[in-house]
Amino acid sequence: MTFLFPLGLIGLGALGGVLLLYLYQQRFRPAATSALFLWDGGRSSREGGRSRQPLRWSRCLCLDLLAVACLALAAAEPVVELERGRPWFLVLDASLSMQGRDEGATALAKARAVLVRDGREPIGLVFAGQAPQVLTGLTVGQAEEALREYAPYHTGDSVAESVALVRELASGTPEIHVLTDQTGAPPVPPRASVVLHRLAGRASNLCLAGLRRSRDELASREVLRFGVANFTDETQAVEVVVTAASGVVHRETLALESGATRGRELPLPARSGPLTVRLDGAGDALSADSAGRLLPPPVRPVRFRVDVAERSLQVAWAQVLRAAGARVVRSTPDLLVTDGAEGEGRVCTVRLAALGEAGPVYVGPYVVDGVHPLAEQLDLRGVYWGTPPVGQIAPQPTSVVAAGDVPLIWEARGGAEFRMRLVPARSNLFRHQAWPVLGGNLVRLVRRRLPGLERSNLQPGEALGGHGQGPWRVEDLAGRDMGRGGRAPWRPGRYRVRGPGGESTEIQVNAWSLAESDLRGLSAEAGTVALGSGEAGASIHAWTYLGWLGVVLGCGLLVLNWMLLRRSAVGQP
Amino acid sequence: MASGVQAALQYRLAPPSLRVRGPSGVQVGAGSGTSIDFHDFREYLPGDDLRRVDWGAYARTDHLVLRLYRSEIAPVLEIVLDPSGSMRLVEGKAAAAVFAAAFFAGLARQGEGRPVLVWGRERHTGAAVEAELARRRFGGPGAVERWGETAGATPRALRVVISDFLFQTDFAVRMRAWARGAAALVCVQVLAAEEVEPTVRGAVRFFDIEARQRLLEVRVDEEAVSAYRERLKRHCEAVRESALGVRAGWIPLVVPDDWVGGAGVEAQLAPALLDLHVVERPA
Repeated sequence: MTFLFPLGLIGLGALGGVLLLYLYQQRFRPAATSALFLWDGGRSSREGGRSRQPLRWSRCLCLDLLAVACLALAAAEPVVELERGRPWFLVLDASLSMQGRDEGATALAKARAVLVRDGREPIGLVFAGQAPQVLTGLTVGQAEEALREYAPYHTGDSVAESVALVRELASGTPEIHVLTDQTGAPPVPPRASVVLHRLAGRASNLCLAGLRRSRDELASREVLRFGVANFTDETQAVEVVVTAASGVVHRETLALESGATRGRELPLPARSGPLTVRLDGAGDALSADSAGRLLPPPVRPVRFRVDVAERSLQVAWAQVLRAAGARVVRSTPDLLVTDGAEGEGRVCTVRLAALGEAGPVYVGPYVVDGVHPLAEQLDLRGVYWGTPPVGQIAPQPTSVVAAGDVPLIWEARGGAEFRMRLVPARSNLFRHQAWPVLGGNLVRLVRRRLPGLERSNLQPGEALGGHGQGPWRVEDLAGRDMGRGGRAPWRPGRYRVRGPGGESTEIQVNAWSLAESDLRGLSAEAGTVALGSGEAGASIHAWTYLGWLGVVLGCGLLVLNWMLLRRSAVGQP
Repeated sequence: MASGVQAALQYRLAPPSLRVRGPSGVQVGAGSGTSIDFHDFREYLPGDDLRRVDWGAYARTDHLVLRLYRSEIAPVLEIVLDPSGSMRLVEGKAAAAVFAAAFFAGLARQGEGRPVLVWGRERHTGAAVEAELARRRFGGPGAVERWGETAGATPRALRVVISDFLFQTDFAVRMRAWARGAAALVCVQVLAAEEVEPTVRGAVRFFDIEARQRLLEVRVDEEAVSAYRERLKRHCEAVRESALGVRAGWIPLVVPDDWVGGAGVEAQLAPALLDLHVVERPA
């Protein structure tokens, strides 16, 4: 224990004052009597107090001495190092670019070297990614073991945030080692010293960008979209090879100028199975972003049933929904088109207004909620729309399509139901190009609401984005739990996602990030730089704790003493 | 407390001289009654029971004379116990006061009498007497010099006041108040040895045990102790004179500070009561 303000210890001199006070006071021995008046008339207190007597230790004297000692020690601002030695942290930059840096040594090997070279314990290990992971109190062995979890697939620079986080977490004056490939240096926080270990390496890189695979439900085909970027200083001829289970399905050579990016879209037959996209070219420093594996999109069939009395309506709906990829079923449909009262418990219901007498016919212009998924790219120009009698229909705030303030299609039951007012005999909607658009939008909307994942190809840490009740549980193919955070793992690979109902979907995590793949702005030279120490000092938390502890103890003892004195009322209990 | 009751078994009240009042019982009273013990003669008055006429005397003297017999009563013994904090100055003092109270309660019960314990503002009878004594609730509220007044008094009871009488008041007036209506009054003064012969010496801050804020700082030496003894003697003498002035019995008891039981108190109390003819040894 040390003192920040040693002069405060002068206050211990007050102990002598307390003893003197008690010496003076203690010359009178307290004694109870039942007849004070019988002693009255004796020699007065002034005379009586003159006799010398040894100091008598009493409870009050001890409490007073302790209180004064506590207050004096508190005034001296005592501090204590709560941890053994100086806290030591290694902050590892976990961005994707760290994969390809340092000639002849990986970032992992470099991290191990830093750990072993210093050899101090306990070690704090921080993986500085988009969600920094902190491990503290490790031995060297434990830290080396923990490095297996190091997955440098993050994007963005979060080293400075992690260093600041370490400063907040650590007591005392931590020594923070940072392993990064960034050119800039993180700011040195107060009461901390920072040593920067820089990785460097080749800056030329070719990478895949925007790797995406989707299914076109209407055309019954799949589409592969990808981009290729050249982050070298020269024009590169890059060969792109797309391989399916049956063999190579596409091969082409792209000539890319320095800094150029080119996107490609390849139609694929349906049910092509897993695909692998690989780049071959000179000067590729980062292999992690040069290949990717893509799983087929999840199959999410929409089952529908049309319960409509009017024959023409029934046919029109069934045709458009079947064309949009939905499957007709007799029971438990996801989408129900009805003109009756049924519909509760479905993913989506379209409730048609009862047909009766003819109402007004609208020819536009229509008010369409352009941001609603049901009205996406919906163009109603040229549509005339006959409705049942308007009656007392009030304007609906959730209108998707309206004619003036008369709602034609609107949401109900929190979006679980759409209501539509249309008389088919007095409308050309079913013969208009807007009808298949409306049907396709409806099926897509329902498909998005079906439980399960929408996509099977994700980036590291990307939200799974599935519809349904969480939590999603991610596990690798060996069945090991990888977390329940609703995000893809940070390490690329193939995983299995289990939903709350036990449904299982395989996902593929591919690492690609244009920002991380461009290595040209990163450090060119490796080395270790001591960034110096911030303002030196001991832990402010430890100081505050002990100082206040002394004050509280001292005051508490004084109060206790006062209560005892008050209880005895004679000054000498 | 129980030892006080046990000690009382060796004695019994001698009330014929005390004119104690009480309901019909087994204790011989001071007045005329229906016992078989002869008491006195008196002249016949119209209406008297002819069966009480001493026909022998009539034959001898030609006067109608009635034979009177002693009454049999259950005496009431009122024990007024000083509730002040000074009674617990030392353990022995409180124990002795409770012993004395229990002794008198035991005496009353022996004659199938009724003990009444007046403790501050409260009155207790029956089994509650012993229970209250066992609780030793000294130091309760109430003006020290006026205890026993507000609780009322039992007429013609044998009243015993147990206190250290170490307070300043007009004891002549107080004794008259205590003696008023009582068949007899006995004052038992209980003092601790430390109070009679202080051992404390040197510079002392005395505080009143009943009013702790009252302080007196004194250098206690032989001279001061001697003066104290003289004042105590004068005070006790004045109280005793006041007691005798109302024909009350005065029994001083001095007990060791650590007395918790034994023959010491009984050895002082019983002879004094025998001398005062308040008790007698059964034949």
